[in-house]
Amino acid sequence: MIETPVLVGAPSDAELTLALTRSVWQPPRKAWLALLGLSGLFALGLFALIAYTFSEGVGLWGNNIPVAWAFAIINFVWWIGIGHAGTFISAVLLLLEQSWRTSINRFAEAMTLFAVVQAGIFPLIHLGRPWFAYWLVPYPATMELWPNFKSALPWDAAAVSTYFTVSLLFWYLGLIPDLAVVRDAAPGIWRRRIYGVFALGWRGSARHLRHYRIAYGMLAGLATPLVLSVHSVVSSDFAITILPGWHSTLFPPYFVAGAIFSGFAMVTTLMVPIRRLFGLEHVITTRHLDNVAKFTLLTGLIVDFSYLCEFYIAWYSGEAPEYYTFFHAFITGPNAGIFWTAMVCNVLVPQLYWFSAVRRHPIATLCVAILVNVGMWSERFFLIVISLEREYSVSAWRAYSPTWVDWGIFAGTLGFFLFLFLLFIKYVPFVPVSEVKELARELAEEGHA
Amino acid sequence: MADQLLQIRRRRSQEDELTRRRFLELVSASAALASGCSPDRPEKILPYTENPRDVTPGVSTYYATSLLIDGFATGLVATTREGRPVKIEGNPAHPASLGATNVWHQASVLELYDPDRGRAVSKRGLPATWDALDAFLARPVTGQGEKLRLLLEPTSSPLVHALVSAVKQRFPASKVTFYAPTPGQVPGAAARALFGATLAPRWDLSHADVVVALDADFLATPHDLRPARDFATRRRVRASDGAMNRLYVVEPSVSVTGSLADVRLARPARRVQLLAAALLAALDKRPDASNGALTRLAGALDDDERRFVAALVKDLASRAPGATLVLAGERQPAEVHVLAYALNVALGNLGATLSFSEQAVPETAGDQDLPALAREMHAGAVDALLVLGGNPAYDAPADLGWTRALQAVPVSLFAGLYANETARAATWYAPLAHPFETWGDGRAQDGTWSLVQPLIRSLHGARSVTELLAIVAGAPRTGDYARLRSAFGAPRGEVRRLDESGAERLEHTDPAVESAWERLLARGFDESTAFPRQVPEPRPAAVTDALTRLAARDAGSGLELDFLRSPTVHDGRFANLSWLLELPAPIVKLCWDNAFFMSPATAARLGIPAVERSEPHPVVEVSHESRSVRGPVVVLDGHADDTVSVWLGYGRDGDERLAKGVGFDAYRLRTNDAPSFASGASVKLRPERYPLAFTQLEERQHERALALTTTLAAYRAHPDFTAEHKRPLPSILPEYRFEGPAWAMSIDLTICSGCSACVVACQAENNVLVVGKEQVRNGRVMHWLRVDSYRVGSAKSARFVHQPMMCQHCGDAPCEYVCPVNATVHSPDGLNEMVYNRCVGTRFCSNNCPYKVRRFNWFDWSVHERANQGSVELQRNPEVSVRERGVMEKCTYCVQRIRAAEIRARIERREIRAGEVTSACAQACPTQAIRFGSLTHGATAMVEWRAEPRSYYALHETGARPRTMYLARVDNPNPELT
Repeated sequence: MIETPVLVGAPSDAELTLALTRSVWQPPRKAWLALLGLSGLFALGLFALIAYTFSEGVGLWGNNIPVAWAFAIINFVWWIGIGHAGTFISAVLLLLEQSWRTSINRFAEAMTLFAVVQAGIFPLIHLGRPWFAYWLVPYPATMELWPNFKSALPWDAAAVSTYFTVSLLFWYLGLIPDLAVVRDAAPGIWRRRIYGVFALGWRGSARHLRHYRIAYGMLAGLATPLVLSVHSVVSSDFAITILPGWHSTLFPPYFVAGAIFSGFAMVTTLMVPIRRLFGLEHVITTRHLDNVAKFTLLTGLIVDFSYLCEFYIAWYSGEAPEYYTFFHAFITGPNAGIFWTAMVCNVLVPQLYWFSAVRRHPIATLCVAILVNVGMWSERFFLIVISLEREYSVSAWRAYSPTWVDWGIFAGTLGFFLFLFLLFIKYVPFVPVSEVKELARELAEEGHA
Repeated sequence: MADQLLQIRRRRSQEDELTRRRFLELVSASAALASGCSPDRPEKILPYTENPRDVTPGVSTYYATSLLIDGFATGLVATTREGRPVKIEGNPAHPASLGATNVWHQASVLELYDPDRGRAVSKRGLPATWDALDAFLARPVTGQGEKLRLLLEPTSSPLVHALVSAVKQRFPASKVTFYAPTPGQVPGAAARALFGATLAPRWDLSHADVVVALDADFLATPHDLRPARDFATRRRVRASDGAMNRLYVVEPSVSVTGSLADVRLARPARRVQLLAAALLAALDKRPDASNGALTRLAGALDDDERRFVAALVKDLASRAPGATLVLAGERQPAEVHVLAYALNVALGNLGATLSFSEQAVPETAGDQDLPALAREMHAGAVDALLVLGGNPAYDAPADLGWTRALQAVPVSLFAGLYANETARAATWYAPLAHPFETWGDGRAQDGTWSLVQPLIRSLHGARSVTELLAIVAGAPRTGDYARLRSAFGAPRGEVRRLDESGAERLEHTDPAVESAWERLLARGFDESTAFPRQVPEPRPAAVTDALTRLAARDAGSGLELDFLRSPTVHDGRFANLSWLLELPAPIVKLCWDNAFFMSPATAARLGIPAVERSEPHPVVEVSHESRSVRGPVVVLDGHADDTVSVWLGYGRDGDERLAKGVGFDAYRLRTNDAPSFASGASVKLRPERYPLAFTQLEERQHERALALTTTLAAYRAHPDFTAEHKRPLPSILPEYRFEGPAWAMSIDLTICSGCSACVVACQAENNVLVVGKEQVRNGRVMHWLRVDSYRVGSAKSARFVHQPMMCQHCGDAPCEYVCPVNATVHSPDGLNEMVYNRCVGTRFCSNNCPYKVRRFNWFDWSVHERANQGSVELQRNPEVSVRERGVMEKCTYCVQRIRAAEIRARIERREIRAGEVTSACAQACPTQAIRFGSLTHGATAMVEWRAEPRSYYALHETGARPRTMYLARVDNPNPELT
């Protein structure tokens, strides 16, 4: 069997420059404008609803006692998880010298960045008194008050802000040679000047390249442990508690696998339409779809195994509250439908990826990916909400249901994410031009050899 | 025109608002009053630059006063701050309080500040003056008063009765009626029939080993907390070889008393007489006792009832004479009470656990009853009707046609705390003063004369019933204080002297009487005035009469409809108090509504679909005698079959803004001949659904070690059954040694009746705000202390274990380590403290609290909920901050009281004494099931209880190491019935 190539044909540098940067100076397409307008509207809605929440209080949401955490935390965990695939693709695969990553790493990184932006909104607006959010950060306060380092939330604040910083630097550093390409190829003085500023005077000299490679490799080395640590820390928000359904030492690997699982699904969700819209089938090939699908399947299986472990331990522990949470609340509780959605989407649907026809078919793989995204969101929901709905004190049991504000804020972040992403694919070369050129040469050399 | 009216109304409401300036005036005037003088002294407004005697800003002052419920006085101690009453406690020396309070006593201070109280006199809906009203009252009718009628609430107040007599002297032909919608005491007719005198029973529950409650909710007597205390004394089993009483309850719905029963038989109220007769047939061995009627009544029992009676008779017969007690409830007819008395006579209880005394609220005081009055009104025989208190337009039996009857009366007056339904129909409305604003008196259940002392000058210039009666009687307008003082002095040989300037001043000459009076004021009551106990001679013929009457009467068949006093808003009089509206009713845990209650079997038979408590409930139309009312159905485990019970007091339509639209009015189904229960009702399912607000949705415990229960036999066999729930927990950390007092709580589930007085007491003490029905449904109720009720036994004969649940002040608190900003931390004395100023509101602590006792300020409740606004803000405890939006809050063990005691102790250079500090919940508890104190004070009940075998920590396996310890509920079931 001949593998599908990671780059179709042997385009010249000029052809690649043209193909990969054309979208930057072409006038915006109507479809793009319409989508940008729509997603911008959603983003505005998000800010309006945040303002509404700030002025009235988080009582506008569906949260209650006992379900004190709900949509905001679900969305936070979900968005953070999505980011993980981007980092995984750009950092881990870079270190593993996987050449196929080149075509998709840029927008996967952008996806990470924008997903972390969405995720970062939630812990902030979720606070009862958001104006004191900085108290979670260790800073030299005059009262010498420090955060409580035993709580997972200051860890969270540190992990997420580190993650955002590293992701931003990594993304921007990788972008510099391409910004220079755009600068050099851009029509009109103003665009050259603007891109010139951001290109930081990149001339492509050997010296530049050498420094660039060192810095990029170092950032990749920094980002790699973050793939594991960020979601491990996020999972501690739950694992350090005593709540049945949350209290589990399995959570860190379980959450990391889930994060990469959902992240790869999101990569597919974004990759398929982009490749079609911009006619980049020769750069983002079926091989990419195939590889991403394989990763989705692998991480999905880890997630499935985690589910099995969780249920097994709940049974094996003999603890009545633990057993009840898993074998009654999840399965038949007030929001059991969401548990079953998660099971279907996360356990059954990814099994389709055993078939290469599904992996390589753009529409089929897109459908699976979207369902996995739904499934992972549902998983966060049942883990967080149903566990709280049926905790120790039976008299306090109460169901949760979100309000329109909850839905609005969630939809708003989807819109805001899309808005940022649309701006990104319009104004920045979303496939790394220089790396693809490098790849083309490497392939050409391999061919000669 | 409409605009003008609107403007007038708006201006009036602005003028009526209690402004800050007006409040300060009142406060300083009240402060002057605080030095024990009469409100009729020349008035001065004193600035705080020179403090009035006894008032130090920031220091509480306490006054003994009383509150009359159902006409009976309960002695209270009011805490005032700078002349402002903020908290009510029981008067420990008073026989009807013993230091405890119930939900109504606790909420009375909120009623004082209720912004919806009537503020001004009005005539036909338009503003009028007191002078105009005085002119009318001074001469309401001409002649001998042939057409003058007075309607009052039943009362024990000697002052009121004296003035009513004075009115009758001036208008000999006038007639007086006393009416209350729900009976406040057992009918005196029973004693009249059996003993030849209208007497009230005096139960001694502290010496009864077997208590049989026939539809008698004696643990929740609104005006007398002694039965609950006495019962608990006999109930509390100490060591595993200890003794405890046994409680049998027969009742239609599930009452507080029934929830504690050892043997509970759920039966329609109409079958109580059959059970009483069957008991009498088996126990009364005199030849004339067994007659045809008796066997006929006793023969109508079904199998369950027969088994119950057989086992109960055997149990009763095995006890020593005088060691049992049979009680019948005030809802039951006089004949059943005759049987109950006869049972006690047969069991030798007369003179032991049952004696009698004069009625404190004399039933015979009125000239005619309400139906007779209504007939006269219909017939046009009444020219002037003075309604002083109550709310007959709302709560009179539906078949009297009260509103139409009133239309036939040319001039009528309603005086009441609120401009309620009756005020709307009356010609005149006069605002009545709150009991905390006036002088007055009353008698406790046992006759103890108790004083009502004002705690603050009248907020709205309202007057008392006695002042109005005095005008009608043409008595000198000396004021209530002078009248009381004279009533005290006159029998002690004192002569009163009016001063020369007018007729207003009184001088009392005898210094010995004056000092006795001052002692009385300080104490609040005079124990020497209690009625002597009597042991009258029964007349057996009366029993035969009663049996014959019962046998002849159609007991009724079909669906029974039971009208119950609401456990929260009483008969509707407290329907505007947000604390009570939001108080989860004992057992059902329903708030902000009433409902039709029925058993699962009856609901299934009537085709009513089963729903979860969180879902909208099916609505039914209940019809009785051509009248019908719609309301939601709540299916209740343990409810009697073929019976629908409903709380009165809801569906109000007066000027009370909070009460309006809450629940439905069940009085519209109630007729004069069946005021407590009626047979032959019909139920029709309606298509619509209605959402209800419950604070507890699940009644089983799901194998969690929350509220442990056992039986006496099992406890004797395995005294250490809770050992696993208090065993030492392994820890890698060394145990922390706390300095100084170690505050802790012990709660005995065996004697907790679930009455919920603690919940309201906590609310009053700690400025816990209400959130409204919608937010209760959303799971955002703010109560720091909740009473969880879990079902014990099968659904059919359900009983409930009640568990007061508040912050357990865990040693290894799960909330503390998860707070990212150290907003909840441990104090050196072992309290789990909540630092509001540091809280950012992540709510992580609540998620990790296994007891779910933390409450979050989802909104700024003081703005978001109108019930928290207006003059009720004056009730807030200045020692406790009102929490802002976005912060977590929870029970503090009343830390403000602890710190106050610490400061006192430090000033006096001593340690805090045992019993010096108690929490608001423990202080209010009628059965003293909650005990608070320091673990270092070894000799207190709180500490001793913890050493009992049945003590345990709730959810011990979570390792939270709570400071609060529970004592497992022990039941004493009859082995023959298990």
